Amino acid sequence: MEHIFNRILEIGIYSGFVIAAVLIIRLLFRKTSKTLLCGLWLLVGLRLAFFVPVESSLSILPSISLENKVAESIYSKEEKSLSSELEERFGKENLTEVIDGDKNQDNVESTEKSIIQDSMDTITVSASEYYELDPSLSEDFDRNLSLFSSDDKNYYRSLDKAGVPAKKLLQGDGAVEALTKNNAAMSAKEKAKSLFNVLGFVWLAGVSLFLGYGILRYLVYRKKLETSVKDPRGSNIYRTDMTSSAFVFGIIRPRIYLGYSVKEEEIGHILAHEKEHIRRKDNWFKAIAYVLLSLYWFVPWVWISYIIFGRDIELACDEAVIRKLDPVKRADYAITLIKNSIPGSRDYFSRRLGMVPFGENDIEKRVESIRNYRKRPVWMSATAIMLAVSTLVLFVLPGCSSEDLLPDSGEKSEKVEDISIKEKDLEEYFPEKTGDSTPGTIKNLHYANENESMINAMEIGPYGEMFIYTLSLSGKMGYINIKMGQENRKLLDINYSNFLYFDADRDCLYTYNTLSKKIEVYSRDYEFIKEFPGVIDAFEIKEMAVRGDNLYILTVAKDRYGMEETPETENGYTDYGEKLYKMSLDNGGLQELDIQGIITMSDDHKGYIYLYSYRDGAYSLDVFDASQDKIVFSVEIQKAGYVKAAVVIGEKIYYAPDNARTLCSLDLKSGKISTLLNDFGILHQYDMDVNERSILFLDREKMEICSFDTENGSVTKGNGETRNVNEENDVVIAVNEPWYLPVSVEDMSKLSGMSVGVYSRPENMDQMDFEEKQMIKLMAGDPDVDIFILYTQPYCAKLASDGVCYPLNNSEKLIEENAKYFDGISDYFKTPSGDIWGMPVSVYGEVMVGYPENIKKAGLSEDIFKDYFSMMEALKTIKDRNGVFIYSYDYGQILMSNYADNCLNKKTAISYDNPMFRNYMESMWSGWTMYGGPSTNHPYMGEAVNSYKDSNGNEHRLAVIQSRLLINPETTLFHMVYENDFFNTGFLIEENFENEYDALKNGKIYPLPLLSEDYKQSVGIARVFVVNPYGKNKENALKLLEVIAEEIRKNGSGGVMYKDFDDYSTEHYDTTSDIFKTIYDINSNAVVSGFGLSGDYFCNEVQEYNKGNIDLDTAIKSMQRKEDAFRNE
Amino acid sequence: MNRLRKWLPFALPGLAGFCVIYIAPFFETTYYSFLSDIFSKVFVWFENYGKVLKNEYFRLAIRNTGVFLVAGCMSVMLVSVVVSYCLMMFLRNSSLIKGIMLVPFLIPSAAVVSAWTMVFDPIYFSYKIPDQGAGVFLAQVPVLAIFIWKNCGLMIIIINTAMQRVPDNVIEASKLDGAGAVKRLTKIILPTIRPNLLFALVLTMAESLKIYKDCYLYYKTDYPPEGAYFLQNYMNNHFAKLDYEILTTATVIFVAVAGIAVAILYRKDREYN
Repeated sequence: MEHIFNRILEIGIYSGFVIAAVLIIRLLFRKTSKTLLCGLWLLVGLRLAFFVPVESSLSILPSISLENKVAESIYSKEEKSLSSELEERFGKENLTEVIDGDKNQDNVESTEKSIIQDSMDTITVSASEYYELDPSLSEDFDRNLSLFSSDDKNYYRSLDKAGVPAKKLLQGDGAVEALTKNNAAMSAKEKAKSLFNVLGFVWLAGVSLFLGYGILRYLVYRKKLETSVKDPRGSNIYRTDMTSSAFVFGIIRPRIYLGYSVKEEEIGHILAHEKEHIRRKDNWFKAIAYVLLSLYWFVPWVWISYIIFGRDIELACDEAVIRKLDPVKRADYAITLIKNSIPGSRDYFSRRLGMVPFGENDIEKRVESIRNYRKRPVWMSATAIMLAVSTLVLFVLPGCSSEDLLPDSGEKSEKVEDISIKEKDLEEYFPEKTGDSTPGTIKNLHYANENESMINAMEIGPYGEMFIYTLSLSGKMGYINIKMGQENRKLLDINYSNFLYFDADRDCLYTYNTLSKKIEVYSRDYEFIKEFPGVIDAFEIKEMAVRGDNLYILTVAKDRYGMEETPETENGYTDYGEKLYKMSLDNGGLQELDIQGIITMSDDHKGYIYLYSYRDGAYSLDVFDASQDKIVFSVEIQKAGYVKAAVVIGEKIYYAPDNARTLCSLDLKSGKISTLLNDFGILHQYDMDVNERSILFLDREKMEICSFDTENGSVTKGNGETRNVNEENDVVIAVNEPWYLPVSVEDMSKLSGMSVGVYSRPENMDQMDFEEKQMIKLMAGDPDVDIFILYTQPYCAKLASDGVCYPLNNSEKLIEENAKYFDGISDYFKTPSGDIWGMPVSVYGEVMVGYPENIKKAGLSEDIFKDYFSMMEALKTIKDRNGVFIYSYDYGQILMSNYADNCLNKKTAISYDNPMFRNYMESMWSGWTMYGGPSTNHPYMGEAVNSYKDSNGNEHRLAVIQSRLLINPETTLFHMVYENDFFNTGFLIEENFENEYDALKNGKIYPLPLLSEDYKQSVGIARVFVVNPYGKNKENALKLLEVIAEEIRKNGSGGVMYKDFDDYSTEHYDTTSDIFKTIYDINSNAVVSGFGLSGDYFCNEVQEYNKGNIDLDTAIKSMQRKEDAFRNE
Repeated sequence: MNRLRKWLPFALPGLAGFCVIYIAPFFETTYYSFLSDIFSKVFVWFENYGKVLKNEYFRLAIRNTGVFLVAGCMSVMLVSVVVSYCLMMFLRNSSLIKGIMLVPFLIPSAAVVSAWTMVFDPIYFSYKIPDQGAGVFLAQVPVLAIFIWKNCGLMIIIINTAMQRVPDNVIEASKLDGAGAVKRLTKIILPTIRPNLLFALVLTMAESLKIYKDCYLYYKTDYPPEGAYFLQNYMNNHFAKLDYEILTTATVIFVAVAGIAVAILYRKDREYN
């Protein structure tokens, strides 16, 4: 609707110009033939009727887009009000402090206002219009902008793809401004749109009113004129008593209706006049004019033109009649005119539209014109016509914007004009590659062969990102597969880096340890060999290259996705502090090479090293000669712009441009850019490497190593392990995320002797969706998957009661294992008939870690945690450091959701997506919001992984994920530990902590406050193994589960679930410590809350209780009733 | 036969559509009620029926629905009869008023529920009514109110129209014989319009099942208090859990009971005539 209305409005406004011009011409040429003047109105009519947006480049009218203008005005108003509102709320000084994030690295305390969060909550970004590059992104992102999404990598990725520098949004420096500006712009646009929509409907109503009125009148008149009598004078003349003069009625068959009271002598004149109208088709024109008027009823000058048009018609007719008469007769005519226009006559049609009456329209003017009628010279008419035509050209059509006036550039410019590279240089510096490496290299990346020491695995990078590295041992270069994370601890010792380089000549791996900031050397079997002494202060490595005895290292100082200040972007280039180092492999001597502006390095293990850089305002490709340690040749390339990664093969650069999912090539000889691959997948910025003539890259979206053969343009894909499910697998496991597997796939295969395939969630599928799909697969009897790993979602109730799973007690070992668990757990996993339907992968229980001193300082008693409601009562009295009451009923929901455990309603889950949880976290300490969520480099947060290394280099996995962010040990009252694998972290084994984790040590562990006396503490089970009763390989599945169960017990990754202390591996648990005992006690008394009721139930009661509408007993009773109903209906 | 041939071309499309969309799936529904599980599709004979009939919540649902049916229909009929009689007596069967009374029927539930929550405090009705005894049915009061308010209009129109058709001479004669207003109503008018009353009753009963929408909107929960846990709640909750076999079993039971009840009603009515 708004488009139509927009058009109408535009045309209406433009018509003003035409009308003005026509009126001026009219003024100038009023002495000429009136017919001409009518013709001018034709122009107006044309303009009004011409809806097609045609733009004339010669028009002098401006081209405006009304909607945008309105949006702009709204935006400018809003923009002002937004910043002033923020200022008002938080005070100007505070605002600047937050925005100027740089200053705040040291004094975090002062920025404890959750400014951004508060303002964020009220601002929505509608992604569907914003991210047009990839429509699937809008679903991902279309929600209240959550800065603290736990699914950060998707978030960053989506922003990156859309060209929004992710950093800018997530940190204080201009964050508020940037984001609010964006949002304000968006919302302004939306507002303008909706405004126009509304106006459009109002307009439509008006139009229908007018048109309806016109039609109604036509019908009414027709009815009234039925009584008219045909007149013998002419075939279309009728007598009627409806009028005292005459008029023309009818469009298709126009008839002249004469009144009875018209005198004989006047009839002649009148008839002539009316016949003239018919001849000129005035009835048509008037009708059309009326229609146009009704379309533009709100435009005042259209009314003016309508009225004047009406008059002009009359004048023209008069003139036509008079032309034929002599002066005497003219006088008679005038008299007739006057006589027949007495106002107030009993004329039914005294004020009509759409009818052409005789008389009444501006009699004075008409008489005057009759009097003044004379024939005018031709030139006058000619001039008038010329003016009319020029009006048409100049005014009728709106102007077009200047851009369109530029000559069409034909194809999208692919010509790169600024490459001036001579043949000779081409040969010398970009020699033709004639390698015979076939895409068959990919085959070696495939996981299969033990002898090749191939390990495919997923790695959790610093930001929860996954990296696959694969080693092609039969090739000359490659990436290396590393397993990291909880699956295989022995490999955790390799490094804390995401880059490895394989030196084929020395048969070793180089990596960069981001903690010690040194280059380390490992053997092919991941045994640590040595460490080079030189310290390289960088964030991470982009590329390495070995030439002779030197290792060239391209480092980057800032994280592209990190939280630090956004560097300036110039021409698309962002300086991440790239530096090129040269290290001698003999003596470890480190030297920084003074080359500025490097973006990426391309190395094919021999020959020249190519550097893609940005220097002096232009992108260029540099040829770096290792023997001379300097750039020997440089080609300026402008059109490729900033790239994520680039490699050089022969005379072509293959690169992945920054903002598109394509692989492009730029031919240095011709300068032609071609797009080779579309929908390239998400490319981490460094994951491209070259091998003779094929490019290896990592498609992070599908987690595949792909090889692109530059000769024939074919893409071969390698398989990441987790996507590898094929016919030969003995057992297939379906799991949400591959790292949920407590034991790595390789170990599973090794220990069980079977080939294990893993089917896991594709990147673009929501976890919940995947869970549900798995569930449906299970219940539908899909034979292809043998083992499902599911959360204990509501469907598990079904599993428990109906046994839609293969009973695990077909294996004696599994019966044994099950018996080792706490009763609450082992019983939970049994159906009423005693069959074991599942095996828990990991068990966690929520505990509270409270700080007794702070609690005392806050004036509360230590036993506030004994039950939920008393805790809430106590908390109602506490203010946070800002003096704001931290209590809100949201706490209730959060705790309740713990009890409910895995609510049906995703929104009440413990995650940063949940605004309640966020609110809860922030009230405890708001300063951290400035630095984003858990994936951050904020010094107080520590690394954003679940583990850290202490000073001895021992890896510890952290138990707390979100709540460890409550750092300030002086005022934090408590936080909930929601992943209770305390023991695995070495939290107990290691006594010395880094600064921030000391706080945890001072806490005291309490069980979660109980809902009521007889409401047992719940233990949440994260994941359950379930064997598909319809799977093809049930027996194998059982065997595998036996293996896994044992490994879980040995590696202690399962959490606290064993009754017997002896079952805990002492390597990972310190069973003598108090904390272990506390948590053990808690969990031993707990029940498994395997399925959640919808958060609704609890929320209603809790809300009402907190508002004071009901008392505790009623709330509890009601909740229990609902739970009972849920279980038993 | 002739008549049938005349009707057939007109009735057939509607009938065919009805069969395909409604009747045939109903048979499939009954088939599901004999399976153990929609996914494993094991044929178990009447186990589901046993399970459902024994289930305490099913019984609760039936009880509540039954009570609501009786209370609701009775109240609606009562109010409608009284009001239409008043219309006839005092307001000359004004069609304007009848039209106004129809308005509640036309207003969408969602628009009205918030107003009703102001009249009947949901806190009181959800939490503060007794758990046992007859007081349990207090929970149905808001729903009952909405039901009466909504449906009286329609019934009034039907009944009033019917009342108008009672021949005047009979009424006049009874007036002459000294029958008062109430006597006229109960002894003359109501017996005359019995078929219409029956029709209105059946309509009301059908509506009483549809009022579940308002019930859900009012209580905002899948598990309303004891007295207001209707059959539709039971069915919806099982639907959410994918227990199609229980759903369909309950449906079949309900259809059987309702069908039998209506058949008995009509049979009795025909007998009476």
